[in-house]
Amino acid sequence: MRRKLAALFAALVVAAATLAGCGSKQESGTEQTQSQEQTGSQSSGQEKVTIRLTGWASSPAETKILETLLDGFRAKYPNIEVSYEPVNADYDKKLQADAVAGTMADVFYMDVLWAPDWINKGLAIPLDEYIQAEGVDLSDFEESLLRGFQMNGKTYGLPKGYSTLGLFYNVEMFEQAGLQPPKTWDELVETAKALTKGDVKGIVITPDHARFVPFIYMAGGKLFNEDKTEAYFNSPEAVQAAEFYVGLVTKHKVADTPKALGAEWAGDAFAKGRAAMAIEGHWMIPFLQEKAPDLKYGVVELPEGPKGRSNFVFTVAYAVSKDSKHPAEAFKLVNYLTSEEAQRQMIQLGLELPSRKSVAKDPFFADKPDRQALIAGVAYAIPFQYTANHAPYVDEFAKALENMILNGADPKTELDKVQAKFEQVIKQQ
Amino acid sequence: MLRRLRSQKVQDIVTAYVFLVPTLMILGIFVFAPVFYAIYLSFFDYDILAPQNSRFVGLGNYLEAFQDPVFRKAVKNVIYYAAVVVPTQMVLAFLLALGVTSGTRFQNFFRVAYFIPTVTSSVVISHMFLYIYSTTGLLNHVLGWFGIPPHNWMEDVRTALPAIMAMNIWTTAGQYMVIFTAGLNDIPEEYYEAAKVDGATYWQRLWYITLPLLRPVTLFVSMMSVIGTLQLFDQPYLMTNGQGGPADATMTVMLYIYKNAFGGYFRMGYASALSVLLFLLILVLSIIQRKWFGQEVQY
Repeated sequence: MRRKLAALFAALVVAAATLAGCGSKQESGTEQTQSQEQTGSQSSGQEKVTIRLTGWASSPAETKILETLLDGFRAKYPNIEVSYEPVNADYDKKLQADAVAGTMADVFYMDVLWAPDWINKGLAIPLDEYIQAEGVDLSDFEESLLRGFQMNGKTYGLPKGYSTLGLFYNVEMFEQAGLQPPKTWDELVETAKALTKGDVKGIVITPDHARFVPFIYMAGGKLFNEDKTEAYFNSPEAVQAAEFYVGLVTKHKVADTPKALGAEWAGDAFAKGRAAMAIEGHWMIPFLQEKAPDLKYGVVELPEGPKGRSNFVFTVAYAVSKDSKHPAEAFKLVNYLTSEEAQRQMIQLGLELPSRKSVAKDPFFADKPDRQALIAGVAYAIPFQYTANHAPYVDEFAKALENMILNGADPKTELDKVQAKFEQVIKQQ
Repeated sequence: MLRRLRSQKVQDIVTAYVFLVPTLMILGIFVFAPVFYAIYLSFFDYDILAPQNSRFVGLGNYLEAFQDPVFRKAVKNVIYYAAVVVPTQMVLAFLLALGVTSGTRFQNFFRVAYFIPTVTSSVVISHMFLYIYSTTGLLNHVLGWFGIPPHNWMEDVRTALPAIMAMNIWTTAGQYMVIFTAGLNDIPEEYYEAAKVDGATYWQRLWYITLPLLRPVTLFVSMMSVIGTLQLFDQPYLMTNGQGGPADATMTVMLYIYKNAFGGYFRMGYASALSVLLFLLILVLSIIQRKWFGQEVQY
């Protein structure tokens, strides 16, 4: 009997411990938020406020320079402590999980592609009142970048940097063939033809909407109407653009996909000398420096289409989250990290182009024609952005391009499918 | 006396339940509750980032699933995948098991060698095979010796899924080999000796003794194998950048569920409905297998 009782008691203790374990976590959680609230109300005083900053870490060098910038911020605002919490993989999933749990960091990276969804679902707060309070001059930011983070007349993030697409070409191969970088679509085909020899293709083409969409605009088409309620994925211009882009691989046989060239991505194929040209962005510059330091390359603007120029601009903004208890202090950090002095430090690293026009005129860029070609593109670029809930039809778009390039499927039929998917998704909203 | 016995019994039951409480709580919180919640969510249009906008759609998600070309393609893919992988892998595992129990030299070395792919992380294996399958990779290099031109295995809609099949057969055959080996060692030696005395050949012994007595093991292996193949996720996710490409050639049900739930589709309700459908598919196939292999054999 006594042994039974002892066992019963032991089991109860285990159960109680388990319960307590679950409970105490919640308790400490509420305590934390309470203490945060308290400091929030006292933030005007000497109480220290902690701002959490999260983003993906593209390289240790970037993390290091960001830490240096943060030290500068801490020195300037002794009342605000910053804790930097980089995410190494699946950033968007992590952030969305945090958003559901109500534990988002105060300041977070917002990719322009995800901005419509995240703004629409209330993850980022409008910054207009803080922009006014801090006296930020928005006109210094490139318009095509800022536009990606503005919705219904409100600004939800300040871009930290950007890249457009450029045509990277292998200088040695061009010199041997006695060629100039192409300026139009027709010249692109001719040049690629002249450069396709043996194992080397004239250009490496990625079956990716992030490279293809500008060609639709160059052909005179567009993706959406002004308020993005209608799309034109299967317009005659889009079909014409697809026929040109895909035709480089299927019709003219002057291009191939990175994988077909035995490479991971277009930059890799270019670095390995398997293609004479590649359409990529600023990220190619540090990549080539590391992987192919002896490769002589040049960058020019994307060739002009029948109806003019176009480009995609890839950008990321610092945004303030819905869970921030100290949005005013959080914005001070956003403002500091996107300020002219911070960007002048950041450009030395050569990871991305500065979002401020004044910094783009920095002498750093004077002797760098490769970067200048990419900066020139921003004047007529559109943000790399679709609508809220874009993933289902953009996945369809990616499949369509794969089908066209890898299976030789008919562009019109494939683009019709994308259009149908778009209409289905928009109807569900 | 009787009363005392009864109270003793009640006490035993109470004690048992008290001991079960921690386990039940953990299972309840992390297994049962999510399962039932998923079934509940499958009747809603539910966005995890905007739960306030969720609305009841009844069987709407299920009806949509049957008309969704991507889901249909995914189901077709996993059934094709299971139809090829399960029998091949079982036969291979069985032959390997016969090999490593036959008493040949270096038997233990082979056991370990065949089992290593199973304990290796699927991430490592997927990346290794990406290199093997790449246009300039090992496979094309070897084929080149026989004058076969290089092929872009992972970007061809006809070869992408078979490429993953081959990889997975290689990976998991060792795992089932171990289970078959255990089953083979369980068959009493006397049966074979008696059969030998009666003049049974090796093939007769294999057909009339080994295979029937291995039935419970075969059932277990085939069930695990079918469940594993229908839930295929990590290899296509890792080898196609999470897209199931090219053009849905390697899209699986799990991958599509993941995309709907977490991949930016913001459709947790629909993903839940797809999970329930996958569960039903696995349940039906498991019941059928039990019917086939289920009868115990006694000698």
